[in-house]
Amino acid sequence: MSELAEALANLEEDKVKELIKKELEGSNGALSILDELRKGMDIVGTRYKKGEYFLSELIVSGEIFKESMQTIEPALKQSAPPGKMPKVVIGTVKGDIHNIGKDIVATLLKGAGFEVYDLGIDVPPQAFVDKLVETKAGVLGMSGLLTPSFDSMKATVEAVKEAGLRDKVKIIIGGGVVTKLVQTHTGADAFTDDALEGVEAIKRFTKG
Amino acid sequence: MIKETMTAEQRVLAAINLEPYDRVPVAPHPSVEFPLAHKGKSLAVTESPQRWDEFLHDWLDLYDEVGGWDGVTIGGRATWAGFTTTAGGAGSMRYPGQDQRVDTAGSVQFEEREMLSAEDYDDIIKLGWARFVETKFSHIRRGGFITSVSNKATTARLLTDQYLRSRDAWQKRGVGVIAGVMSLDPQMALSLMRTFPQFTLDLYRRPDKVQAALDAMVDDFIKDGIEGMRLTGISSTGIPGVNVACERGSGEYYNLKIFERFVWPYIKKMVETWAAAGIVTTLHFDTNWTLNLPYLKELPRKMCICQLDSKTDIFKAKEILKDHMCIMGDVPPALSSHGTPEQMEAYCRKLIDVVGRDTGFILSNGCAVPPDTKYENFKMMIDTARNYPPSRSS
Repeated sequence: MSELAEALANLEEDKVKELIKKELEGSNGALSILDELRKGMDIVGTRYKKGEYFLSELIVSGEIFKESMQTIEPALKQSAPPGKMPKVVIGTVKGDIHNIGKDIVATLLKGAGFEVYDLGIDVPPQAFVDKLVETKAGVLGMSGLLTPSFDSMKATVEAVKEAGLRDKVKIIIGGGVVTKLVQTHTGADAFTDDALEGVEAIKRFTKG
Repeated sequence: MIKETMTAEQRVLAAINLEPYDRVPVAPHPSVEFPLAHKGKSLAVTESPQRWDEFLHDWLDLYDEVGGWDGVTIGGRATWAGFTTTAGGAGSMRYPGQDQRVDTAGSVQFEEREMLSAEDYDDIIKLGWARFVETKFSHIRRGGFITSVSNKATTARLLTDQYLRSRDAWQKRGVGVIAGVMSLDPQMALSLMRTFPQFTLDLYRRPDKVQAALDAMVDDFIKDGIEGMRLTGISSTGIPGVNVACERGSGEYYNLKIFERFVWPYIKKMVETWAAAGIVTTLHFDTNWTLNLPYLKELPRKMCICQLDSKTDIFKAKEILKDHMCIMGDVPPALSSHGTPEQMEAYCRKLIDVVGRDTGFILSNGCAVPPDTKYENFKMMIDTARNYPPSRSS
């Protein structure tokens, strides 16, 4: 494991900044730094799965990752474009304005190499459909914390069907009170009440 | 139907005091929305003072319609004590009818919004929480209306009067009112006002400052709980109670090192001080507290209720806490809104069989009754408590 990946995995914010600065000044390019940061995020995920890390460590590592991305972004733009990344459209459904869970998943997905289109909160079904059409994303992630949001999720799944996209798009729903019962009600392909588990499910979707 | 040998209040008290009951008591945690939605009414501005009594009457109508229940977790709708102490948490509440993004058929929602900056910790440390809030904010949102800080005494009186009307209405029906005051734990208050991500980053970036701020806050929360009890009086259960909303300090969010430093000492101090004053604390534990359950054994015996929302393993809670404190919960929200009566009955029977064994259990819904709860599911929860006998060890 590289020093940078390890520093990120250990949530050493200042060390990560320092190492990135050094690597950008040295021979390592932005793509190599990005690769190390993603390895660091992978380790965070492994520790979370083992019960060594909690939601707070996902938040802190996500923040360090986001800040690091801002630092290397100018250099990244000058580098060769990265390989084709799987695309995910994500948002909190119509009538629900909670964003914590959705934001964590969006950050973790970016850390895992996905191209994420985050539509924010209170997103109507048609806005999800429009973004799926525009981006040709293969995955839709919908979040909601309250029981009335389940009907918004169902309406969105219906809208995706009506747009003729259902067989091209895998759908996952997430939120603190989402259960198998809700998955059945909405017609989604998967459900989760755990951010990292959601990312793992999306990885499985995109691996085919 | 089980042959009843206790009144509703006696049954609730027996559960809290870990004494045998004739059957498991049932006490829904009220949501303002469900009784109104059940009557097909708009849920717009449900928290406005004009709708307080309407909510109370609809809630009482529902009580009559299902044939009654044993307890209510909170006597009234707007009983937050410590008007300024808890007001911060209410600042980011978004109400149907007041915020166009919130459906008028839906619930009150919380919006993550930074109401405090990292620099504010210094002032909290210097002033304590209540004085800080009054200095920082000229207006406070409480319920569905906004009031100026200078007018807080009048508004607090309005809230207390409403609470007392609610409490009296329940007591007239013989229903055990479990808590007269609502509060927060200090960590939760800071997390709500800093936002969860920012507060979490603060724990890593400026831990000593956060701890000093929490140290400066906790006594105001304790004082407000006691003052609230003075205003709202002892309910007919004979037990003064405070319901503390805890959510963001659980093992779902934080490791035990963080919990032991920034969460637990403050909850413990609140409960212990209140217990010494004879106050029973209901710990309203939303999210998953399974990892934290063993700590609850450090709290004074029979002086707490562990109220769970379906994310914590309630069966594990029974194993750990059965000789120590009453457990309340935990019908999952999705089961209330999207399940069938048969599924509801099966789940409630399982709760009664395992968690209700011998004593120490109050059947309730997880968190609050969702607005889109099916009436037949709600009734089934009540009926199952009434009809299905608890198991006994001997």
